[in-house]
Amino acid sequence: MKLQTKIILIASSIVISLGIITIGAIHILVARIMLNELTEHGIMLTEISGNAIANSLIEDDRVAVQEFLYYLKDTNPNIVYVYAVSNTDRVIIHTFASGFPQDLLTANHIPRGQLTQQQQFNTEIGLVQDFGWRLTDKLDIELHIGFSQAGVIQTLNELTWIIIGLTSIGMSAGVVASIAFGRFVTLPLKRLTEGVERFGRGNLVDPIPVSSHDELGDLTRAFNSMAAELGKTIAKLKESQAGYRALIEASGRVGEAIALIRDENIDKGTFLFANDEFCRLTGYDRARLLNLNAAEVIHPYSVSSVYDAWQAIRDGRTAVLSYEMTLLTRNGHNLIVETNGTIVNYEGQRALAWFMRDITERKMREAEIQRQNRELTALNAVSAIMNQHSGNIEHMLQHALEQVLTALGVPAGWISIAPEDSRPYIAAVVGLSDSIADLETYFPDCDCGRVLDKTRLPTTVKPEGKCPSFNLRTPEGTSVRQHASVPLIAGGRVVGALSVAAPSSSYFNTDNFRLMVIIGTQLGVALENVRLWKDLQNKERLRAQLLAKAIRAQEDERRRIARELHDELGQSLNALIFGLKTAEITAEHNTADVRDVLRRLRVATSDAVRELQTVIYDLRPSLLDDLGLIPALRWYAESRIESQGIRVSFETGTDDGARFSSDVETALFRIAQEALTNALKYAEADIIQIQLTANEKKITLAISDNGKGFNLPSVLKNRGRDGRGLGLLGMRERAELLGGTCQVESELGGGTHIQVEIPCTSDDFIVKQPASD
Amino acid sequence: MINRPQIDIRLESNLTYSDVRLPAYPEDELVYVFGFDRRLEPREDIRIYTALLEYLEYKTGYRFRLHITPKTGSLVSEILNAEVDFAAVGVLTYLQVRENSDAQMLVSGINREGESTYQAFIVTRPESGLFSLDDLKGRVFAFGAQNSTQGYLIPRIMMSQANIELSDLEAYEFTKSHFETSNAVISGRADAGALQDTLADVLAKQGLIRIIARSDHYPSSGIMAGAHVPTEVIDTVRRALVAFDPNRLDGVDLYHWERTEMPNGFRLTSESAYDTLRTWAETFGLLGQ
Repeated sequence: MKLQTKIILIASSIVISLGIITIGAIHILVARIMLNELTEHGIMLTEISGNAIANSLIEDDRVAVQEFLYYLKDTNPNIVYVYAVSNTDRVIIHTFASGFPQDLLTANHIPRGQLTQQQQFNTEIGLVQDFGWRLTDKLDIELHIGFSQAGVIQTLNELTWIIIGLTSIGMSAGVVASIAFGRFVTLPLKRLTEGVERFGRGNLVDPIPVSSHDELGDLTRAFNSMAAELGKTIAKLKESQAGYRALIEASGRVGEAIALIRDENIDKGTFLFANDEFCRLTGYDRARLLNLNAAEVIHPYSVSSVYDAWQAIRDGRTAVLSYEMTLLTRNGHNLIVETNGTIVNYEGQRALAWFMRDITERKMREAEIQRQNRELTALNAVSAIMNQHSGNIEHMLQHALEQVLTALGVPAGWISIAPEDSRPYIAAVVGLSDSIADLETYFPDCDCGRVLDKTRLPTTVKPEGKCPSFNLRTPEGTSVRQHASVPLIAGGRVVGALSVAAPSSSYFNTDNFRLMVIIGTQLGVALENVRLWKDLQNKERLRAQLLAKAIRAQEDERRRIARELHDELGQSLNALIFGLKTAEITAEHNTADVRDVLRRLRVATSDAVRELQTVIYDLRPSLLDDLGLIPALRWYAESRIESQGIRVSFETGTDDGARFSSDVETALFRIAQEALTNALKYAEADIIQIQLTANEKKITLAISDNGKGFNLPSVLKNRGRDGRGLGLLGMRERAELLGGTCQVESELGGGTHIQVEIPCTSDDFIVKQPASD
Repeated sequence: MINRPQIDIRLESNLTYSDVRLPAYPEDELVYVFGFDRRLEPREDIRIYTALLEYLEYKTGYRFRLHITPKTGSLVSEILNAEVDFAAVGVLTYLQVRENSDAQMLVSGINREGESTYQAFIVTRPESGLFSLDDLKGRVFAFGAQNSTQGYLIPRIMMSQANIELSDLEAYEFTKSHFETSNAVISGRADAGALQDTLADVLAKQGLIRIIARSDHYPSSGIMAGAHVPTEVIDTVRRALVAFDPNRLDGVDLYHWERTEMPNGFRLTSESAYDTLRTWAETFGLLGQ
């Protein structure tokens, strides 16, 4: 809309508005004045009239009062009625010709405490103002005059129309004047505007013609001067911008990425300029980049901090220090850059200059060093713990777990252990419960356990019903949404798992897994060491028990030999001594009987020799040394077992003349001797089967009976009190000393089967012909 | 005046033709009626006593209404008939009521000199040739109301003491009030007249009349109570009246109280103070009417 039109419209609007306001104001003012006039007139007339007829009312001179009331009504055309209350019995004297309106009796009843009262009535004849007056509150003398407002309203309406007419004439004149004024004022402006439009099109050379010397002429001359100065400034600015652009390009060649971002108008935030280095970093060509919003190249994680920094720059706060952010390249890669910015004016636009330098590699190196430091710290700590707590596995694992969680920066974790011979249990826990006793594990019969047992690789799983973290909360009250586990491997077996919990799966990355695997491996080695240490302890304890047993057996054997020598060989030798003495005595008296005595002595001596041989055989059958293992076993079975009524089946897979090394034969004979003795002593068996086979690789001895059998774990556990247990362990010990094994299988009511396997070489296995004699 | 909300009424219908009376105020059933002997113009008397009643309402908590005795009525009868409870009366009216009941004068008024007495003056026009009471013989005389102490009883005493009887006068008339008496004298309708001292002094200073005789001092007008009024009410009102100080009133604007016969308030009185006037009234046959 042109200025001329605006001036005309504004001036006309003002004139019309003022006219309307004037009409309204005058109407209201006049109405108020007239009504006030009516009111004051009514009040004054009523009070004057009341005082005038007060005495007549007091004296109850009704005729005088009536005349006065008619006089009042007749002399004032606005009075509708007049009525008065006489002193006597409050009789009402009035001017109503047709009777007194009963509504008036109470309509303007002047209350006690008041001497006057005004009341407006809406009646059939229009609005009526009733003015009531009373001489004193202590008497009921009253006077009421009713004034019609019809006359006032009619006069007011007539006056209003007159004002409307006059104001309309004034408004019309004002509108005409505003049109003329608008044209007069805007004509020079129009010329000036045309000149300015030429400047706007870039014509800074041709000045605007100016002839007048008024304010507009001054303005035109000032504008011409300004245009000339502007032309000079633009020329300088172009030179400056050229240098500025060269500076930016030079910065890009030394690795400084620079971009300018619009910081005003509707396309605020879009790129205005980008140097080659910026294009290279973001992966966009310049044409594409200049159509983008800066947010497109900012990683969502960095948007908030970048915008805050830019706002600080806009606010002119203390110089913003360089800060780091993540740049999102066109191909989706993230680059960490060090950045800063400032507000500049570029080609007439307010822009934000954005400087950045790629520090991704440096940050990666720093992160790698930090990760390695973290791992080394944790590993050192775990190693130290292993050394400190090698005797107490639970304490060791608890301290190791705490170090792992500290290194990983997660709040909760636990270590499950699944022993071979007992229920799985939680050996260490942090952040899930105050007491390990509250926790239960089914490892490896759980999701992570099955995966670890199968793959032996680290895994992440969502906690399920059998997971100790399923119903638990972190100290912050949040549920464990994901946990990662690595296997603890000892002796080639998955014996447990190291698990850590985290609010989300995104936490677990390759580096964290690697650290967990390394520590898990260490823990596995530690567990294996502990297990070996315990096995060693058990073996030491077993050796002590075996040694004690050997000593006891040696003493028993000596005791038995002594007893047998005393009971049998000693008796025979004593009898021989007595016989020799008898022969000596007989020879002095009866030489014929000496021969008979000597014959009995020879027989007795032969018996003694046999008894001595028996003792010697029991100690170590000479057959074993002379004829080998098979004849010795066969002799032992026949002489010691079958003699007790037990049938023995002896089977060999080799010739009876086969011989083995002395160690092997001795060990197998003693093992067989122990097994047969046990069968005789405890099994109540009636059939015993002995099998002996041999090849070039191993010798196998199997002894089975159909006895009542026994509970092997119980016997082994009570080996200290049950000699059979020690005997079984002694059999295993003898076999293992030769690199072999000794398997014992037994069940209650199902007999016992013992199988011994001894590896051997060709040197150990020698087949010899039986002795010819 | 207070502008009140507009209300709808009918002026041309629902009309009544007889017994048009303003409805009584319900609260007026519990008021004490106060009458008075007319002294001045009715409108002025009413305004003066309205202020006094507002004072009494303020001090006692009772409510009072003014009562004007009709021209054809008698304040004495109204008090005796218990139509009026309290009244501002002259001594003669009191004596007439007292003659027939146990009514009592509560207080008597205090004049400008601080006395509870008043006088009656015999006045004439300034240019008349009357200068003493003796000059009244053969003249037309204007008394006040027939039951007025200052307008009739005391002037009769003055005449009697001067050995002048009514028959010595050429003629005499009773006006309704001192105001009318003064009009009668000033207009020449009467040669002389009897006026209350206060009004006479005012008119004399204005040069409208001349005083030719002054009476002795007699107990002034007062406020009486009818015999039917409860004693505790009487005592309360009496205390309020004794405390009435026209020069120092709180919350009540008096209206020309100086024009009354008690311009300085009231004080207690005794029955014996009225013995002299009672004797003269009996002598003149004014009691027992």
